[in-house]
Amino acid sequence: MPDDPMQDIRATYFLECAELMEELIDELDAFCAGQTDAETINTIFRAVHSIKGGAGAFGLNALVGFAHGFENVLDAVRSGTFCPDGAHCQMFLKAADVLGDLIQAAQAGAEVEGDVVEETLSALNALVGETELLAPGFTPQPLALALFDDVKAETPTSESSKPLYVQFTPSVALYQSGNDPIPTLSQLHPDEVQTLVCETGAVPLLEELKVEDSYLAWNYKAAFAASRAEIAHSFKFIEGLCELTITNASEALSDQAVKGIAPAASPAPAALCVKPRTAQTSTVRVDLDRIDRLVNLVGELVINQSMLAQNLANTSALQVPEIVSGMDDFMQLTRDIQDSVMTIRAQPVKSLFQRLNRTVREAAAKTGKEVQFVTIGEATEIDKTVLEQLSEPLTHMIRNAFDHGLEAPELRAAAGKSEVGRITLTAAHKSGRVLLEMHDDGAGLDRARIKAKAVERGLIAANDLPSDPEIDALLFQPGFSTASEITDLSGRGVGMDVVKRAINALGGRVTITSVRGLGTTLSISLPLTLAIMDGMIVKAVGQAYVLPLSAISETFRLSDGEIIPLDAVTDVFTHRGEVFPLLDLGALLGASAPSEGGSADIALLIDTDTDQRIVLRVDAIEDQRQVVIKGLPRATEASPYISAATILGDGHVSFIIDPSALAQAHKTPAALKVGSAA
Amino acid sequence: MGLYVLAVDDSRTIRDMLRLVLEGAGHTTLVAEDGEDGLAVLGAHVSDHGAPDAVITDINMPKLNGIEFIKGVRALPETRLTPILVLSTESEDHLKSQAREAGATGWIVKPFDPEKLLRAVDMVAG
Repeated sequence: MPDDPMQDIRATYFLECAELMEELIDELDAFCAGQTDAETINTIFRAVHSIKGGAGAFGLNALVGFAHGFENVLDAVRSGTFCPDGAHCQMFLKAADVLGDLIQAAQAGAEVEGDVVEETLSALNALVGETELLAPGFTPQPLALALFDDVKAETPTSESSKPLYVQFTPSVALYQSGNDPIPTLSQLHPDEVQTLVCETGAVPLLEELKVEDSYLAWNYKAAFAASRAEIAHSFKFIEGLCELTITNASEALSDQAVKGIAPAASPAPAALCVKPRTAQTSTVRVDLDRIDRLVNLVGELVINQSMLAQNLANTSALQVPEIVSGMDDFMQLTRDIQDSVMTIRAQPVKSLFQRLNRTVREAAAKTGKEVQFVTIGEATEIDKTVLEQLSEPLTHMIRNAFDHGLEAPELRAAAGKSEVGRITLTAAHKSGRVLLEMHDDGAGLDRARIKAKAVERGLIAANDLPSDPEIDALLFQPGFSTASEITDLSGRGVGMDVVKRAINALGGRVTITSVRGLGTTLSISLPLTLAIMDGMIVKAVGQAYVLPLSAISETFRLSDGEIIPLDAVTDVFTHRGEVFPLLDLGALLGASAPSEGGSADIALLIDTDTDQRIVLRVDAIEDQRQVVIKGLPRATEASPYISAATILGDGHVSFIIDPSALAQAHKTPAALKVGSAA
Repeated sequence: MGLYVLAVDDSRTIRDMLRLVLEGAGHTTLVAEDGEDGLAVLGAHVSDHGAPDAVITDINMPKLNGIEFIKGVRALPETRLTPILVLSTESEDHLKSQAREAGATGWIVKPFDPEKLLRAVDMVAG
């Protein structure tokens, strides 16, 4: 075989190994997380199986040996005869790592040092030894000769030229499996043929002859140099499809007769311990486009329903009891449809959390920091699109935790912490939103350093006194990074602000809190669906605007508190002993003359995503209702405070205010002097 | 010898090796990466050139495994009696009977000896 093509194929093999290893680890992670369906375990098995297959071809014996042991265990798992528990799963992951090491070593022509290969292999073999590999109902067939060993050609030594008597009767099945007796018989190569008889006694008359049946048999008496085993070996493809007797011609009968061996009973497939996912609920694949259309249409339905209700309110129709109850039913139905549609696109976060397992492992390997990854609330459901968009920001947050949060094991030990760090990821539903939290028990934010960096970048003035939450929020500014060198994982200075923008684009908010020495927590709040929102309709300068209900923590009258002017452009509002920046919605939106500020005016206490609360003054509160969010065309990015639009019940377009943008409008008085205002 | 052989295996490495060995001996080789692909390639070849002279297939493959693939080949009228060689490993000994019942002609053990492979191909298709 020419050398060059083999080198190419060898290179191909290692490329293939890399792909298989990736697939293996992904599926193994999923399996260990509970995804025990047949497809998953089969993929895992096939990956190891293929790696082994190629390794054998190139004589990579260490790799073959280990892969073989691993494959055996996986075979037992997929046939249901061995059900692994959590500890076993960890062992499998370890075995996968060892397999990867062996592949790399093989590629470099080296060996894996130490005992880890042997130890892991022994552990794997021990598992297989503990289990019943043979499924019930399988009875091994007695074999007189080593017919099946193509590789280990262990043939009994033969005296030269022994006369043998071969009787060969093919069955119909032999022909039906594409076999042909002639080539088989021509393999025999006798030294000296004494007799060759074709028995035709079974051939019927022409009209009874079935063309595809088998009526012939051959009796062959000859001296063969080959041993009986070797001769029987020539027939190995067709054992079970013929009757074959090989006897010593000098003996009348031989106890070494090899009769047609019936095919071994195929082992009954054991009930899979690897279970299909939960109940056998039937599913349907639907184009995401169709679902989006449906969500849209339901949104229109909601609008139309409220418009109808509004219009009817102005007529005497509501005097009619049937119309009233009809409208009630209509409203209820619309709500129900809306709820149902919203759940269609919702998926559990479990798959996302599983993928992050791998990110954690890779980061741990790269940084040398051992970490325990805990996830809580995997069953929490999020809109599918949101879920997909969350993958990148969460991945980045994890890498950030490794780079900046978690300390090296020695430092942790010195600080009295366990050497193994912990990252906890939680998902939960709360008051109509989805809350995701990632907490690392690392060193927490170094606020002095962050502040210094911020001053350096001109984000705050040297003599500013930002509060701790304000310093923490600086991390979300573009270009911010306190990493002294750019590490592989993150630290390019494009991190947290990209995360924030990604979360904001999903209609969510992200905040960061930290306790020095104890750790850092990133909190993400997301809407349940992108399409429909609970809103509060307010009036300012004669227009109706919508504020997300979730952002409003309180409403009161301006007269309930006190307005204190801080400087020419800034007012603060004191209420119950707390001080808040005061904003006027009309003024923010460019009203030419700000409202007079009557004592009857309404003030809303708004939570912005930086945890800074502001008081927003509006003329009146109209209503609280669900609105359908409609995106704004690019051209109308008029005001930075407006995130989207909606159509109110009366048919008018109303703008939706973005609370996080409001926070930018009014920084702390100190900051206002330096940075650019709204 | 100039035979047409269809080789089906999900491992790129094995496919490359089979092709190398078979074409080195003067046979024309078609490849497929799983049972589903195999049936597709087979169907296309059959309509243009008639049945291949031999088929070599793996057992463990995604989408459609070897056993099902063999049944599929046997179900096609043109390839009802085409010799099918199974590439198996020791761990699949218990599958030999299944392969046989599905209609396989014979088997070759992986890792395969190129000479033995060629001899087997000649023996069933020559």
